[in-house]
Amino acid sequence: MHGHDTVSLQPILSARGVTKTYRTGSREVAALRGVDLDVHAGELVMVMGPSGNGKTTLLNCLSGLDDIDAGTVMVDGKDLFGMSDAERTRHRAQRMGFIFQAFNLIPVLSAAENVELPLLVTGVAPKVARERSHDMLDRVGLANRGHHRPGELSGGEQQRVTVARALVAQPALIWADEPTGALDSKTAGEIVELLHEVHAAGQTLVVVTHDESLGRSGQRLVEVRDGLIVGDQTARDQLTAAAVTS
Amino acid sequence: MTAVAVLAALVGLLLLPLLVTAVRQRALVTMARRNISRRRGEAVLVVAGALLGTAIITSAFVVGDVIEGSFADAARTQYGPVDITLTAPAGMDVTQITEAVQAAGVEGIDGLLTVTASTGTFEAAEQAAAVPQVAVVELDVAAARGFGAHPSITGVADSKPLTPGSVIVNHSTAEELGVQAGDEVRLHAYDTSVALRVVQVVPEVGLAGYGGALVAPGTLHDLAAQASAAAAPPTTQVLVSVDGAVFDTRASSDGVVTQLEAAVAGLPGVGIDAVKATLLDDAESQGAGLTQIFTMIGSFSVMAGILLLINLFVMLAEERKTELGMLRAVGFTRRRLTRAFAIEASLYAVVAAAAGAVAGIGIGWLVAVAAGPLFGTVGQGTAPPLVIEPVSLAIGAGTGLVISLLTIWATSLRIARLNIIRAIRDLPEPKVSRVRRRTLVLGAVGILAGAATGFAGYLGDNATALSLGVPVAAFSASPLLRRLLPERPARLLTATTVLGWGLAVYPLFPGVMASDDTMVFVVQGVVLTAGAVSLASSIDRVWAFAIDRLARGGRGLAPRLGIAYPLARRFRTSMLLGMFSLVIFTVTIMTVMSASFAGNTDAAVQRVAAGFDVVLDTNPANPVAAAALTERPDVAAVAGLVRGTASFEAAHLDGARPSPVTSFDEGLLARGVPGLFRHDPKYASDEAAYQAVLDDASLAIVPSDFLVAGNDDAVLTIGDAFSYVDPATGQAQELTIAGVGEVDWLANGALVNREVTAALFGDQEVVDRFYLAAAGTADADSLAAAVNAEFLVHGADGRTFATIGTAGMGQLLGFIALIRAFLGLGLLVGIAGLGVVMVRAVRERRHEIGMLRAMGFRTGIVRAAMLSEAGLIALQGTVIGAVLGMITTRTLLAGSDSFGDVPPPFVVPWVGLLVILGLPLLASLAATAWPASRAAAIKPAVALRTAE
Repeated sequence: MHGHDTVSLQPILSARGVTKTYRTGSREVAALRGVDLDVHAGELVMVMGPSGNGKTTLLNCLSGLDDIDAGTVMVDGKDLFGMSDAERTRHRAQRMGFIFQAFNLIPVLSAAENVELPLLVTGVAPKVARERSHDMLDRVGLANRGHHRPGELSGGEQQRVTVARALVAQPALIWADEPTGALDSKTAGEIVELLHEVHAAGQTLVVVTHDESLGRSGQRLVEVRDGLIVGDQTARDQLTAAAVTS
Repeated sequence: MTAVAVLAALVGLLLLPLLVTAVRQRALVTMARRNISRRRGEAVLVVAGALLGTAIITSAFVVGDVIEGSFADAARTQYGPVDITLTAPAGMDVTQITEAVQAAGVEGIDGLLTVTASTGTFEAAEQAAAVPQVAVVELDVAAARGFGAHPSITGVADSKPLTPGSVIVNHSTAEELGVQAGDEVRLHAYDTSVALRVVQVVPEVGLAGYGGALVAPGTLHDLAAQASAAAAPPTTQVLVSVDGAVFDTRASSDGVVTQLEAAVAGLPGVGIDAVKATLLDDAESQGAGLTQIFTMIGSFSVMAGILLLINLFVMLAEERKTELGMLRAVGFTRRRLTRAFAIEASLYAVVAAAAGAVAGIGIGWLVAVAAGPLFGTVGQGTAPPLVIEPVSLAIGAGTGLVISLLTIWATSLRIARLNIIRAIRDLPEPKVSRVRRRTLVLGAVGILAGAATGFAGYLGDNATALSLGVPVAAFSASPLLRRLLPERPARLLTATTVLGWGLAVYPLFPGVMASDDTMVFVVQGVVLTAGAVSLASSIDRVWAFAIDRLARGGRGLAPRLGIAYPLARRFRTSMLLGMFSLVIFTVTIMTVMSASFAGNTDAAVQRVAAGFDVVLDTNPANPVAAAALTERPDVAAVAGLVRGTASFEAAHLDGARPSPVTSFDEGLLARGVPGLFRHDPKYASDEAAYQAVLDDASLAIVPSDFLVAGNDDAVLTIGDAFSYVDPATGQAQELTIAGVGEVDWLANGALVNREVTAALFGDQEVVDRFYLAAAGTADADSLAAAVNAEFLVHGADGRTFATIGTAGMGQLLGFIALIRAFLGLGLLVGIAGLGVVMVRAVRERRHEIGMLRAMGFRTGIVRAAMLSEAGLIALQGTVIGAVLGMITTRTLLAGSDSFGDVPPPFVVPWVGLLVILGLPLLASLAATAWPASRAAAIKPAVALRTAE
């Protein structure tokens, strides 16, 4: 088991009764049906489940990328959906990072320029942003690839850039949606290793995956099925163990 | 018809392979159909973009058709059944002519009518109104009703025979006089006058248009009997109606003229004029000329449309890349793949061509309505007849379709080179580090072709070829340069060579480039724009540096993102930039030209006036005696001119063309010399050239637009000869051009020796035009008003030179304004194109925008980034187009043959220009506002979750 072994008792994210229904024409699909979830600082939470059962919707809703139909999501004690869209956007910029399966890098910007974007959007001076961007690329092993555009990088390198981009603004929470889904097994292993390194450094991560090996490598495993959390067994043990130790 | 056949063949050639494929492989058609219905909004945008080119081409033809129709309508309103006139010389009994024609058994005619015509001044005392010069015709109404194919075309079908003391006036004359049936008017002519009762007001049609007033036989003769020797006696004519209705006699007119010439061969001095054929030919020529002008001006917009089309289809192909890659993967051959794409795109093209032709009718009609008053074909606020030739629609729609199909085929070929893996994984194409041998060979061929074209242009004095040669060679040399130099310097070298050549070719080769061929203007615009756009897209570091500076201190994140895409997508950006620059280039030229011409008006008026202030025209049947003018205390000097219309032949003309001709005497040169653009070098000065004409009846001074009409591009110049037929001898007399002057605002035509007008007009030779110089403190406007009032019965129509010059310039400026408005269509292409491209860009970048929003980019930044992108492109295009436009105008004004040795000043109307250029810029931002808002409104989760 990798990772950081102590977590805070106070959750940085607390979701209660979150529901989300998608409507396609006259058809309604209940993607989330009253989800409760707490994420504590320093945790590495793996979210698993079959395809189409609500994993990505869970990530989108809990991170504020998508609206919810009912329930509450508290982040740092603030109600995410009590905020205006602009406030939620600002909050996301300051407190969250994202990693996606499709990388979603801006193709016309270099790796370094992509990484510095979250800093620039929070008002960091361009020069400082560029320095921190290079530091972060160095940390993910791409020190010499900063001037390359995404199209000139391999899949693994692109995902490293997205990890660097997610980390660079030192967010409280990083959301990763199938971060190894588009990679071969060797490269996927490298990215998993990188994510554990990041977690080991104290970063909180919620990783959505259907990759068994990645899922089992986490500190806590949340299982989603039919829009409900049907398993969260290891988290309580970890918390209990932590409380006893303290 | 040849053009239609060629277009039809091209359309067939381009569509047939697709039709065959569509029939054989229905699945491809199904795919195309479903792709279109799946993205209806996109389909509408592509069709909208593609139809603009067709609309512009079609509208240019419709303008020509409508204006031609308006001019040709004069055949109905001014001539009706009158096709040919036979004018009797002085002293000849007109019945001799009638008898000669009848005796000869001339075939193909359906009527002869004898009339007597003159010009008179009508005064309506009760209405306190007068019309100085009205064409008056003595008419036997009963005979006139039976003249020609049908009474309805004579204009007097419902009129009763005229009795002495009665007059029929047409609507135009009645309106000017403010009279109606029953009112009394007075006709002044031949130093006397007669009271006439208006018995009928008739529409201006046929014979009621040939004369503005129709009087009983004998009326003019009775007046003329009391005339002084100076007045032009009434002319007697035999009017000939050719078999057929009003508009279908043109084909047989020439044959009838030949027969009539033979018939009256024994009657020397009889003038034969095919008046209606001349009018219809002129109408056709004017229409064709306008079509040519609007097509030329429209070609900039069409080129912008082509660039838009390329962009649209390239983006469509990019968008389908993954899908097309999959098709290749499942076994589609390259050929089948390109056909699959081309079938869908050609469906857009066909719909766009049809819709564009319909839109073109509307646009052309609007332009023609605006142009009508400028050409005097219709009055202000009156719509000309909507005449549309089916062939015009066929050419417009066909050209648009061919352009679209060629673009589609070119884009399809790009798709054929698709790498399956890269397409499926949506990876960018790698940079080609090594130029292929085939490209090098093609480049070498291009270099040779460019060099040969340029050299041939230089040797053959062909400005178009000379302009094109170097740019073709330079662009062709790019692959070779990329082998020898790094990519950026190679691109810079090519771009600067093309731009430099475009700017330097006029000063380097003034002799060749002084051509007035409008094609040179188009080619020059393309060369300059291509060079400047290549340069702009090659200096990406400069732009990036500028934005970096801007982004200092945390500002400018939006422009930084906004410029990233245009810099990375160089091809696409170049297309957009080219689109904008081309149109702005032309708009700038038109605006600066207009201001320069306007700024030149006073100087031009002074040059033409040569020390005089007022032009006074009088009734040739009742002219003012020069002495009466000289005696006036407010007149310092008088120059008398004999003015009339004669038919001239010249090498560049198919046949004789009527034009004004004016003879002058020493009086014209008494206060100065009417300035010339240029004179024959054998004369020391302009004055010497005029003096030579006074001394030699074989010389003439002509205006720069002499014997030029419609789409004729031959312009007579110094030393050229043209000729007239001496009615007395029947011999052609040659006139050689000793000087060329301003455009003929004064309608003097050729300035000749008095001997020439004496020979041409015989007893009709009368001094009826006067140039007057105001004495002492008298002001020109007051002098004009005073002579008009005093000499009203002489048909006095005095106007100041300044008024005539301003009116003439106003017509020119009005036409330029109209052209500028037409160019607005091109701007519409640019603006709409930018909007369309940005809409598609939003779709294309959905994931990326979603990611930016996920990272915390506010909607405002996303919106501002999209607006910055469009704004930067529009701004660059505007600056490139405006700067090149101003440089080109300066060069054109200084170097063109059209202005001789007296080029107009270069005037830049800064405020007007900024407004004209600023509006499209703002409109571009407005057009981008919607896609930008759409981008900003993208829900990150939705964008990241779905493909579209």
